[in-house]
Amino acid sequence: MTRHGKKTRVSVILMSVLQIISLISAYYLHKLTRAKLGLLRHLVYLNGKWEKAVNIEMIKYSFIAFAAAVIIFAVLRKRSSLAGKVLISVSALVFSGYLLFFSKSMDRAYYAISLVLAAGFILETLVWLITDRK
Amino acid sequence: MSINTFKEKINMKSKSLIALGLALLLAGCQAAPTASTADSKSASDAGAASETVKVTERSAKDETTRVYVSPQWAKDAIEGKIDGVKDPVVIEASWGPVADAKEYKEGHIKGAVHADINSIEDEPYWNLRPADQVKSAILAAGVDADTPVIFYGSDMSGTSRIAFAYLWAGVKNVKIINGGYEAWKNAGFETETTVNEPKAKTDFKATVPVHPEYVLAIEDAYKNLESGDKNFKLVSIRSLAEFEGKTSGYSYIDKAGEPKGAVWGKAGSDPYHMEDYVHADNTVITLDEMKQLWSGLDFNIDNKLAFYCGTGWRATIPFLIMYENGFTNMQLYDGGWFQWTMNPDYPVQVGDPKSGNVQYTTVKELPNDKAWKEN
Repeated sequence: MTRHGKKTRVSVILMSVLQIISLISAYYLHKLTRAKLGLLRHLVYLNGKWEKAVNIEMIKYSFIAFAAAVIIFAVLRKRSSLAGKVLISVSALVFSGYLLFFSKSMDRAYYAISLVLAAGFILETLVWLITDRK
Repeated sequence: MSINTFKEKINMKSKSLIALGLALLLAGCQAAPTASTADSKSASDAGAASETVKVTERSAKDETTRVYVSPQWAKDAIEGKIDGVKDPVVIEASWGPVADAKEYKEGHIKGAVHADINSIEDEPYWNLRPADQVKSAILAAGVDADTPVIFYGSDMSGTSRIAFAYLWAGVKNVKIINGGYEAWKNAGFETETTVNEPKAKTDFKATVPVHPEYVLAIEDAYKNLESGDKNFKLVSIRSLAEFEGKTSGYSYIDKAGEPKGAVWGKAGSDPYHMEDYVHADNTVITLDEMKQLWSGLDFNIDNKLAFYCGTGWRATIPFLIMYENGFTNMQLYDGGWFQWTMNPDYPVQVGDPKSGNVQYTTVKELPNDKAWKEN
């Protein structure tokens, strides 16, 4: 395997691991809030605090714009592998799709899950930019 | 001033007249409890192992308003052996939808369905949902006003909460198995793991809520306290640490204290335990035990009582104990300490007024660092 091929492989593995960790974390957060009364009520309380502290809608659309920018950059970036581009684009779509099509009324853990997915996506993007280079 | 102290100051002739007048008044206002308390099995229990289940034995005419029943009674009702109880719906009550109801899925009374306690209450205050939503939840559980319902659950506070909601809505015959699922299993009765779907109904047969008087709104709790009515007692069913303002008891409530004028009714060691009202075997105390529990406290069973706690779970237990014994002079202040803290100008007390070590202030002046933190 060439040096580039090895780097791509490492990049893909790291990105996939990050993706899986953030999805599993989001899933368990969702399940826990449905099963644990105290956690749900605490999340509702945190939701209220976050809404008072920041402009949630502005942050949400900023992240969606960021995800769209990453997809565009992935298409245009010649230095990345196809596997890396596909992975980061899928992550961007999943992340922005969750932000757009879910809401606090559908899932009280929406803000918390969005944060977890955002953290995972940002880390994944950094890993992709740094490691996936021809 | 208690009734006994008042009577001592009157001469014998006046005492007789007053006693006669009170008897006539009580006869018109409420059905006097006829139950005797016994640490015994239910009357129909021939062989079930329910020696440790404490029940309040009642006469047949009181069966409808009786709430806490033995596993044997529940079994007899399910089998059609109790007069006036036909085709009861057995409901395992716990928090969360059936897909996440671990206790239900691990095993439940044969034929029981699951009901989510969250179906009858909602944010932002975790008060009872609007009447139409509670009605929908009850119909979805396969229940209407005439359906006998038998609840059980591992959390007696939560089970009592949903039972209270059903009674408030207008379900006439609501029972809770004393001792819960463990008592049922210990009695050797049939269980299963099959998830049963409720047979939803469409017509509740009454306008919900049939008993709005069971709930005291926060505005009325405030007015009653401010009026100075000595007979009205807002009774805190919370731990001593919560009552004294040392902790709010909840991770999502930042402030600690009580509404100004509240009296302590005991509860348990923390917000999630009710040792003063629920025995170790998950059976509820009897009326006599509750009267004994309340001796020496700043209220008695004849006052106009409104029970509250954090968000309305624990407080339903003393309400239901009084309810099943025929009392009508009690309500649930549903908003609890949580909703009280949403009103910045509402008066509060921090500390125990009885001890003299108490501070009176308003909600907005309270510090925000009293949320319960896990050790």
